[in-house]
Amino acid sequence: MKEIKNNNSMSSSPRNIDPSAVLLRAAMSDFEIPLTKYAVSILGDLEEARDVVQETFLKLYKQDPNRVGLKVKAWLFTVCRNRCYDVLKKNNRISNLEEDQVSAIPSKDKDPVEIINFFEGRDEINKNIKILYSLIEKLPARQKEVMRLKFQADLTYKEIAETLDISISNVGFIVHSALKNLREAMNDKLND
Amino acid sequence: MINEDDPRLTAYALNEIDESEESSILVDINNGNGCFAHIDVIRDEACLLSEAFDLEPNYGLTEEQKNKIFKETGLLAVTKSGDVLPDNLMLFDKESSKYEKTSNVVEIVNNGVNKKAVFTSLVAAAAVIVLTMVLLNRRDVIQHEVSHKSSVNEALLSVEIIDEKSQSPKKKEMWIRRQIAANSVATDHPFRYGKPLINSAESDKLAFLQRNKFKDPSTFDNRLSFFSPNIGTQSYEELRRLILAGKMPTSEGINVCELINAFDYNYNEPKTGDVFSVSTEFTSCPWAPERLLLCIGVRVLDRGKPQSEERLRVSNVKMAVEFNPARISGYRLIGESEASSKQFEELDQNILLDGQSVTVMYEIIPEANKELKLSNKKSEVASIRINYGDPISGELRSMLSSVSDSNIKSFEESSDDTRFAASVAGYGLILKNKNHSTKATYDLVLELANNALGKDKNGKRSEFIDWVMQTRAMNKIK
Repeated sequence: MKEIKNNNSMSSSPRNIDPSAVLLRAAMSDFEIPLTKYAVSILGDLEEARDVVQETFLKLYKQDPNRVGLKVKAWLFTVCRNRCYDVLKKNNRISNLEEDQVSAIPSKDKDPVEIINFFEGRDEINKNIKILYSLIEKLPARQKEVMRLKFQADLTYKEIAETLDISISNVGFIVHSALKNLREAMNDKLND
Repeated sequence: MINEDDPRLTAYALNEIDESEESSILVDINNGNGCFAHIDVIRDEACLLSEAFDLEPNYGLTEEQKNKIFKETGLLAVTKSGDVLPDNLMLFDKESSKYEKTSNVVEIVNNGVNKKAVFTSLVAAAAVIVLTMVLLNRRDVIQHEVSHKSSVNEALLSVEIIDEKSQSPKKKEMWIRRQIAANSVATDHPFRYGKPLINSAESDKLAFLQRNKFKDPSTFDNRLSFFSPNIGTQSYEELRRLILAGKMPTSEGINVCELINAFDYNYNEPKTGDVFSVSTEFTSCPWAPERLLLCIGVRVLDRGKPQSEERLRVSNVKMAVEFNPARISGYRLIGESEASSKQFEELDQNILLDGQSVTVMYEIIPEANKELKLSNKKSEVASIRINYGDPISGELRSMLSSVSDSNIKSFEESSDDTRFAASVAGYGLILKNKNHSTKATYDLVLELANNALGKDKNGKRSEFIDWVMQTRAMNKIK
């Protein structure tokens, strides 16, 4: 790593930026929050999630930016996901050995419903959105994860396929089914 | 055949279809019934899903953790100093002329030290982000305008109608609840391009935009641009009066938008069953090569009734353009004044005449296509929504047209209508020269107009050319 001096004024010899650092900075700026939220959704624990995300970024720094640069997003989510599941396995918190069926047992009893209660006081939050959120939580684990990657983290089908190591058409089918489920569940709810 | 149960339709709605498959899917969709309506349903659902996930708190790293990362990677030092980008960094889109623009940017970053930077495509995505960030870290830098790569394509006209009549009562109610609930303020439809911010995050860009009267669509106030279907032609009369009196026209009393609308354009009639037709052309801007022009023409159904004035009892007709902030940095409605924009939002447009049409033109500063920041509808640049009441049944309806980036044309390839409208717009911009930065000149206006006469059945376009020549002559005398 080149030595970099802290110098704000005009200088005659420009210093070089380390491209890995540049990439890391950009990645952190764009993905710190989506990654952390994603990790929380898998681990159920904020502290653990933060540790995983921190490790992920540090790992990114060690990659060759020329190779990772164009696929940073998929890379980050894949590595983060793998690390999350390593943590779960290590702490025996996976209820089922098959990852795609997994539903992690949260380390402390944090229920997704808690998140909704957190917003109970805020009237301006639309009730229907809250209902939708609770319905998302009830989706089967794989559908839930794919929906989160698509609509919270904004990954493309291709990136989701890479992160989960499944085919793109599989991703498309899951999104389609999940949307259908949610649509029907929402209609049922609204007719109560 | 394609229908609601086909995952390909969902993929198409979410812009996940590969370019190679896109045309065949479009054929299927056009053959399917009611598919367009369902596409909009899916897109609305996508917005809602994003909002649902937004309910979660924005968890992120602790300050301590971030600092640790910075320390271990030497990052903090990088951002504080005025560093130049390494010689081997190059922007991905070599063909676009923003190539030259960015070397200017690097010069600014170096405080004027003239160093040419060559960018490699390998760190493409990161480089684009970096430029934005480097600029953001320097308060004195003006956001550079990025030119958009133009491609040759036929005009897009994609018209989709959401018609509750065809949906079951259950779905209809859900649709209505969504419309109301999705957006509690000003507008009565959900945003297609994600939730707008309350405040603009990037103040350098904002300063530049504001100086030149451009609006940033990432903020709530400016995500939508309303325009009125009824635009008067007083300015046209005023211009004629001044020219005939041998007086130099000024920007007072002449509104460019009104001038543009004083001429006739050949928009397609609405399709059977439609009340409106929306024509759009998206081209390069002849007086500012790094900008684009979006010309929108809306034409009202003409029922051909013998009465001279048939009024359509529309309750509210609201027309608005939503710009996608992921693709557009700034837009400016040509001819919009401070007062008129407010008016459009609040005015209930009650009366529309058969066969009436309205034309609006936007000058647009495109956003670099950031690879790392994809939104749901990344290929859409803007969409036009018309909310109205059906003339016969009074039912509330909504019509949506989208403008995709694959439909950008070079200026020369656009229709004479657009090119003529642009020449009028250019003329108007010259008159207002004090406020707007533009490279429009009378010569350019004349050249554009001369090449865009079209059929000119009533001779109005030729007359306009005379007026421009006279204005130019008067200007030289001054």
